[in-house]
Amino acid sequence: MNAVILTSYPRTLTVVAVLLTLLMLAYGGAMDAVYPSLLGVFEWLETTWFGVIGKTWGAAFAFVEAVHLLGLALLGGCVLAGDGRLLGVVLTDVPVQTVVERTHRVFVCGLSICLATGIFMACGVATKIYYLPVYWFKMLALSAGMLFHFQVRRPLLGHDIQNLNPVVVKMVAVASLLVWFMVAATGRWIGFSG
Amino acid sequence: MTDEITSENKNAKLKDDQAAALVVAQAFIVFSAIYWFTQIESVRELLQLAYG
Amino acid sequence: MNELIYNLAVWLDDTEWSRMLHESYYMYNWVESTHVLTLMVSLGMLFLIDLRMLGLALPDVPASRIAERLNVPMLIGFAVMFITGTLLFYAVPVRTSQSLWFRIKMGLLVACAVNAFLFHKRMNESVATWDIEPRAPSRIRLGAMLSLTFWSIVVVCGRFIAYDWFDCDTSPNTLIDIVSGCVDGQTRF
Repeated sequence: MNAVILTSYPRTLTVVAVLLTLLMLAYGGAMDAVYPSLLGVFEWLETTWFGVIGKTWGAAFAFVEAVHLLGLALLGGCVLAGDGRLLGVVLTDVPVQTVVERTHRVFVCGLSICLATGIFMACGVATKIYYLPVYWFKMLALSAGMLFHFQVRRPLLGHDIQNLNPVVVKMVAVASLLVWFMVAATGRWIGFSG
Repeated sequence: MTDEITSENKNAKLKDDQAAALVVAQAFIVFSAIYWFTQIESVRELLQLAYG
Repeated sequence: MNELIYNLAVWLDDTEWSRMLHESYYMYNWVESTHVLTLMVSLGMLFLIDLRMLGLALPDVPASRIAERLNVPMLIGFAVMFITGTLLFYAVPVRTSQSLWFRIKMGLLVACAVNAFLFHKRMNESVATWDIEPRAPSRIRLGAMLSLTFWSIVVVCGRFIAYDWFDCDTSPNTLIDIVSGCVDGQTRF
């Protein structure tokens, strides 16, 4: 029986393991063990080209911040359109699969812009964010969001929507909205902290 | 025969993907509810301490 | 003109609510965060519409359908942006009204509004002939490109308002000071 569960539900078991690992990292003391050793990495980040430019050239940093926001707008727009369609709120007369599939491509562009500019910004203020709990929380939410999007939401919506349980689809949409809102909100709060 | 196996596989995959989605979505929704509730509560308490 | 703006800003600055909003850590930051996060609703929808016209997003969905259906959430987003933006201005009126970036941003917002009006007019006139084409005709594409460019600069300027590179000082003399509207001998900043 156990073997049947193991072989029939590989994705479910994997995501449960990942969720537990993320929780352990955040609250189980695992982070406390690795945290001190990461300081060196963050100090090094500030000495890289990105770090030096970010620290010394204020206008460049501010410009990258703005591009980060534009990436966020693109990413958020795709999440809202896709999940809004799953919830039956927007674009109701366009097939679900079309909206989800087409917005996914744009979503990847938005995410790439955010990641690229985010890494640059992180280098510029590395030793500041290292000490901010909200920064670590954002990274946790971002990892959870990306894993969720690529490993759970996308495989699920790859199936014919008619065969899926509508309640599960709606829960996925709500969870997706919540996790990306969390990423954006905690990200904005980094600027107000420290 | 092969068709049957493929459709069975597809069905199993759908079940797995759906179960995974249900587990994660539930976890995110519950976690978000607790997280935002405690955030709001802590700010409310702070403001109450400051202004009474 | 600049003096009038300055006096008006000082008057706003003197109101009780402006001071309260400015000094409130949570309220100010929440309004600011709402302003920034609503970008996902307003510009998020706008970008999808513009990218559809350029053939870069949802190319197999009729253009008019994307424009019409996403228009409502976009306008709700812009309404929230407008309200929170006004509150942010009200909290720090003098410095903001004398910010070079704020002035450029306001000018561009007018340009965006004119562009959006022309864009919709042209689209409604001709959409029936190209609705299911993956790319809109060049005139419409130009409108979409202008919209993307203007709004991107608006976001950049909005972000730059937070920085004090060109803030007024007591004796304005450079060109930037004049454009920013610094007033000679001003006592409030």
